[in-house]
Amino acid sequence: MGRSFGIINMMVIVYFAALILGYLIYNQKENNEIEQLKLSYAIDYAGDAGAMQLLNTGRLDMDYTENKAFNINPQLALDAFIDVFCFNYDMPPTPYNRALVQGFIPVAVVAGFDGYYVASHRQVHYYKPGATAEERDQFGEDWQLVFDLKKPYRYQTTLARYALNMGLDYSMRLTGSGFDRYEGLPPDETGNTMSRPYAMKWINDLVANEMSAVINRANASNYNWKNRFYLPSQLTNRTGVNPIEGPSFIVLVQGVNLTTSKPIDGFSVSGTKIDQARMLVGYERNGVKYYAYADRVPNGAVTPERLFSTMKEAAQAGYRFDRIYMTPDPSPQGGG
Amino acid sequence: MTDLFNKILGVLLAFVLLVGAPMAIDTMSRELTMKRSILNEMTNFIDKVTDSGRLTDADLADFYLGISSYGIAMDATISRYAKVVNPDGHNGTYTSYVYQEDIRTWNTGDIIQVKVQAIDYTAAQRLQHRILRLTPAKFEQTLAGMVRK
Repeated sequence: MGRSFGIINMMVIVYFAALILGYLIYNQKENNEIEQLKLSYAIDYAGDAGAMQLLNTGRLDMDYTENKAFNINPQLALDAFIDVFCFNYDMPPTPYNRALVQGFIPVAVVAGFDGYYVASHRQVHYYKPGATAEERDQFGEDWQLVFDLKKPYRYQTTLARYALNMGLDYSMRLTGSGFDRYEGLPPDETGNTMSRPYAMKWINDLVANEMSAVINRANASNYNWKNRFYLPSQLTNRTGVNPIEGPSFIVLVQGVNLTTSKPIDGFSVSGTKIDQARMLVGYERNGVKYYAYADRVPNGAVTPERLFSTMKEAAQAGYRFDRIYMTPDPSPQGGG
Repeated sequence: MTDLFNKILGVLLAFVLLVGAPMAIDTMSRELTMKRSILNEMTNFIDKVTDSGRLTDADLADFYLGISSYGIAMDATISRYAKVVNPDGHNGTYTSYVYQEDIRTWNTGDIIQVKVQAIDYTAAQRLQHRILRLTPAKFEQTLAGMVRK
């Protein structure tokens, strides 16, 4: 009797030890999970800031001949990303901290209207115009995250090479006889005109392949790397999974060991969308300030005072919603 | 004699496993939920400011109440870093961020940094300290975003 009780008690002690061990492991996992979540939030916020800076160049250079065209500055986006990332981990964005964060980013891509930029780590030689050899030695060289030259969204058939763009209204064509603007999308493998989804998929695949090439190069000596990298849109044909459709900023963050004992990874695709704005017009009628969509107001019915891009802006400027022009079918005024 | 001793020990251990284990697991899972919820409150708050570019007293009160409603009292610090771009003298620019006292109105490009710190230890942390004599750190998280509007 006594012996069997002893055995049971031994087992219970083993269970107890297992409980404590489990407790400690759970604790560590919990910490990791929260930090992973925090990293993904941090990357999202930093990515949003980067995408915003991308377009924050004052003027988009958009006109009616080039649908959805825009100019971007990729370095601004990356700088904003790194700054906001630093703040997320409570580090002031000093050169040292920024270099630390840069070390976590093996690749970043900025996809623009007619081409994309890929940032990867490479040796940078410091150089000042007119520097002497000694000065150059003093500056030395360093590994930094820098952007490549802009690469076009290339597409090749047996007859010509094309450079696609995100507007998908035209492409640039390079043939044996010269370089010209080709209206519409180029022909696909079957000889018919390429469909718009196919062209978008082509652009997405190009960017994803380029990114995975850079990531594989960065992880060439990493035993844990599985040589797999996809953009979300490549894994499904459903809509709404954030493919590259407009100016996009894509960043992979790898091996962050700021707050955890084991390095953690994260990935973010942040994009913005460019579309023609539906402008609101502000005017005064019978002494009251109203706003309405510019295309709803009949020609010559009002004298426009100001233009707004959102209802909120119009309201902040003291203009009111005009029910007469904004409702689809204006109800007769007065009487019953 | 050993029989009686073993019986008492067995009862004690059975109590630990039947009562202690579920309690420990429950407090830990509750703590995980709490941490997640607080992170969500923080992202909601940051999104609100970055999207609208302003911060009202009602928003602030809402946030303070939100973070302290998951079991333990929390303290939050909201900092605003205004973006400053200056020429660097070599035909380029440098960007720095200057701390600002005013957190009511925000400019595009400003950075909002929210730090949340626990005032108290959570139940799971007390349990860890009591049973295992561990000294887990108090909950502390920082998130930051850039104002878009």
